[in-house]
Amino acid sequence: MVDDPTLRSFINIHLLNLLDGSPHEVPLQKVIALDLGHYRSPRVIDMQISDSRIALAIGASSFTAVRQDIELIAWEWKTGRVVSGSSPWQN
Amino acid sequence: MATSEKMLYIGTSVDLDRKSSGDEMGGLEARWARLNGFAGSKRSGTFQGALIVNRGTCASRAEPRLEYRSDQDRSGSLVEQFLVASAKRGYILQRLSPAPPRVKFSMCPISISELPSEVLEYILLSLSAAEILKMKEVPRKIAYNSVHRLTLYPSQVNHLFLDLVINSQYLQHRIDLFSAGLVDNPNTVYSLGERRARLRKYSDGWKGAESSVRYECPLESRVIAFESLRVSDQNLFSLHSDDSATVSFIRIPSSPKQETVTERRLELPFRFKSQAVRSQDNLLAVVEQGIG
Repeated sequence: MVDDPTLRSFINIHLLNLLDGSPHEVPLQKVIALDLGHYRSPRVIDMQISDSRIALAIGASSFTAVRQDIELIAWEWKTGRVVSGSSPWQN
Repeated sequence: MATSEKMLYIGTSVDLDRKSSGDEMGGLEARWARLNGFAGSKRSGTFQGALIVNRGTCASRAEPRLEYRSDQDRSGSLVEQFLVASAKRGYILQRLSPAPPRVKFSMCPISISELPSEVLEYILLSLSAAEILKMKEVPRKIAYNSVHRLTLYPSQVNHLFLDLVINSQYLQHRIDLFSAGLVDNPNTVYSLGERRARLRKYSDGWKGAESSVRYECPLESRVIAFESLRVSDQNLFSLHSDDSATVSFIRIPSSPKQETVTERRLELPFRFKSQAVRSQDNLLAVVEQGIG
């Protein structure tokens, strides 16, 4: 798979206050810009929040391949640290 | 001679004239007991043979004289060890009477189908539920018939075990527990019938699960997709419609008598695709739409 730097996909995840929709006071990153690299039209299949982590399952197809991938990304929402990298597998 | 006989049971106290041979006999007795695994005196009853001490003979000779009688040939090997041990110590042993007829424990000639069903049931209860279930399976054999066509036909099944499994409440209960993914409480006070009834009620409850409490909540926002419904903790449901930037939170009361259903809407300055809620941390995470 060719990793073309001109072809990038991003999604923004906003961490908001549940009561009024204002930016959440705890996370260091109020908006997480997730670089999905070579994926085309990424869609969030599922998103879950635990006490320390946010996990996303992202389904997308590649710019340079026909195959469909599902990528799992998780990070600690209080620190912004990614705790597990992408784990793509062919769908 | 019979009047002077004194029975000496291995492992029990020895009624001997300690003046002549008490210490020696005590040592022999202990050694014999060790040789034959009778460490405790309480186990002496399992030995079928009996040592007989002829006190009269002891008194007439300078050394004690021991004699033994074996009730079963099976214990003969044990007595032989005693003979060897005592011979090394200078004792003379004699057989008083011929051994009684040997009791033969041969294989039982009856077939397994003649055993009482309770016995078979008890044996089968030592199996796991998966192994019991195999008896109910009808294995199929694949074969070619006369015109070379592939056919499947049921092979023979053991009807003895099959009927036993079907008619046994204990075996059926074990299978039902396995099906429900449960195990019996070993400390239960309920009878088998009560346990079976409770298990049946539990299983039936899952088959026809119906909500005991039903809420009807008229929503201001239009919910267009089921997948946008999120169940969070504290009975909080969050909904969003794909064509708007509105997320709705519906809190279901834990008890119908406590409070009413509440809905709250939150307008966001952007459109979003997906959302997740964690009410303990007052956190709402949404994925912004249109970026990429």
